[in-house]
Amino acid sequence: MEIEVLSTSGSKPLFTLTGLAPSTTIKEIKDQIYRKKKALYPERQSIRLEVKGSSLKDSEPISSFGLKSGAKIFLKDLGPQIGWKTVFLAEYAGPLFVYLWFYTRPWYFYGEGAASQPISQCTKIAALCWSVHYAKRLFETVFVHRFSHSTMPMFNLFKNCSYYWLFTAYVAYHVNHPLFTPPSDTQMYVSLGLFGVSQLGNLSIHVALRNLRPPGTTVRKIPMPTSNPFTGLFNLVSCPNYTYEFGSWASFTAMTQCLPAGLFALAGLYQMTVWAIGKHKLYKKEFSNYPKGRKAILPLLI
Amino acid sequence: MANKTASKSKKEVGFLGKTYLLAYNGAQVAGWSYILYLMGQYYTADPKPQQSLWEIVRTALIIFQNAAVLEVFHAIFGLVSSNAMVTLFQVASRVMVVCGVLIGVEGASDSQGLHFLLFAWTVTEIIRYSFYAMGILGVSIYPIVWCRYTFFIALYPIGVTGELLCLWAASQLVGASKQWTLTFPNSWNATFNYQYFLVIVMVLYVPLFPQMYLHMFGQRKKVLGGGAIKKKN
Repeated sequence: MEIEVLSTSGSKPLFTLTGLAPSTTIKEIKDQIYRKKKALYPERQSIRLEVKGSSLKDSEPISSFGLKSGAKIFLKDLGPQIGWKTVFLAEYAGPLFVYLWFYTRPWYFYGEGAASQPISQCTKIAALCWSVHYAKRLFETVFVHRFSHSTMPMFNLFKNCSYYWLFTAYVAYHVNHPLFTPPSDTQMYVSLGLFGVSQLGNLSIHVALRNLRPPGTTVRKIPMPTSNPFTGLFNLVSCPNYTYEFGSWASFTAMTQCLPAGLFALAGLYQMTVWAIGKHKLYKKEFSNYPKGRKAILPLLI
Repeated sequence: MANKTASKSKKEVGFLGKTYLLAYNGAQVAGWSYILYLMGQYYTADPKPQQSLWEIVRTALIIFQNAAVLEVFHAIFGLVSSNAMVTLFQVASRVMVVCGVLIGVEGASDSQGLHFLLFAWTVTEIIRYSFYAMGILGVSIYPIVWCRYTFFIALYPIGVTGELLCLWAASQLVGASKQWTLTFPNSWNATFNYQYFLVIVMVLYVPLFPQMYLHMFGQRKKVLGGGAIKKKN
């Protein structure tokens, strides 16, 4: 059978694909298109039934969409792609280096003699926490996460790295400043404890999510608490990894009593809330038996 | 066809909404015309006036430019079809210049940029608000449509030049006075440097201005180029 491929911009006819069978998968369609146009590697293609429709899954056969010979499908060029792992590694390695660079108090940020000023216990602990956090993220990127998509648009590399690296510089400048004023020891140590708990919680959720998905697949299941007590938060929210992540940064803010750190925590919370609401809605749509009473990210609230 | 750009959701906006918008746009046309009139008086006065141009237009400018904040809410509540975020950026930049620079920083209004900016803003706004008012009345006066989608070609760069000159003047003054600047140490471990802030605002013009300028060219092509505009006879 034959299928016509139209572009999503202006519905222009692009290719006619021949020799297809009802069992031909979307992935095979993408490969055929790729053979016709070298620039359009499969990760760059989004195949839809309508111009603004959702992307059809690679693994699905065309018969599952009721496509007969002569049918039209739409192709959107997602633009140059870059691997998710690559982006994550770049955006997380940056904060590690940038923060520690500020820790050394270079004269061009702090003036001459700043490096020889005493460093408070709080500043040292903060540097340790920050480093552990991003080292953990790099570890998870390589060993824990299983990605649904293999790529994202190239522009995201620039956008994401700017966000992480510049915010790191902003927070690091303040916490490592020679005139930085630590809060009380009690405040600092309690917050440090909460930071640790949040980090363990976040890691636990990431591991639980990994185990939810068999290797090499993009299977989706309802996440549920496991034997790890930190995963109990699944009873209250769909995305407890984001909850714990915000917990980490709120704790870090309290530990350093630093407004820039607070702004970083809020910026992250805003973005994660947007993502969590999206995932929450998707779960509810996909699973008719999705637990009621779960919120997206903040228990009982959002 | 001009109506499409003025308010796509005109069908959904009731009589009360349309009356309010007409009053708002009408008031803005009047306000900016008045500011232009004051400028005309200043430039043609003989002998030269005691007051500076800024002192003469300042009150009217504060009222009518800051009133534009309402437009963000018009967009949020669907009273007009404009994108709320785009409107927010546009109004924010104007409010930043008026409040953050001209009023906020003593001496910034002495900049030559003030003349460029006032000229560009008054002419642009008189045409823009007239265009919107026309849309609400369901009337299309081709010369106004043409001006709305043509004058910007010169006025945008002129206005931006004026704004950047004023921002720069302010940044130099703030650098010396350390106005609105918070330093270490303090209990919130925060700093704020108003001079750096002003410079960052200036830098933002680099990516944002071309986008807005090109967007208007796109609109021009859509509305004027090849479209069936009914000319008023």
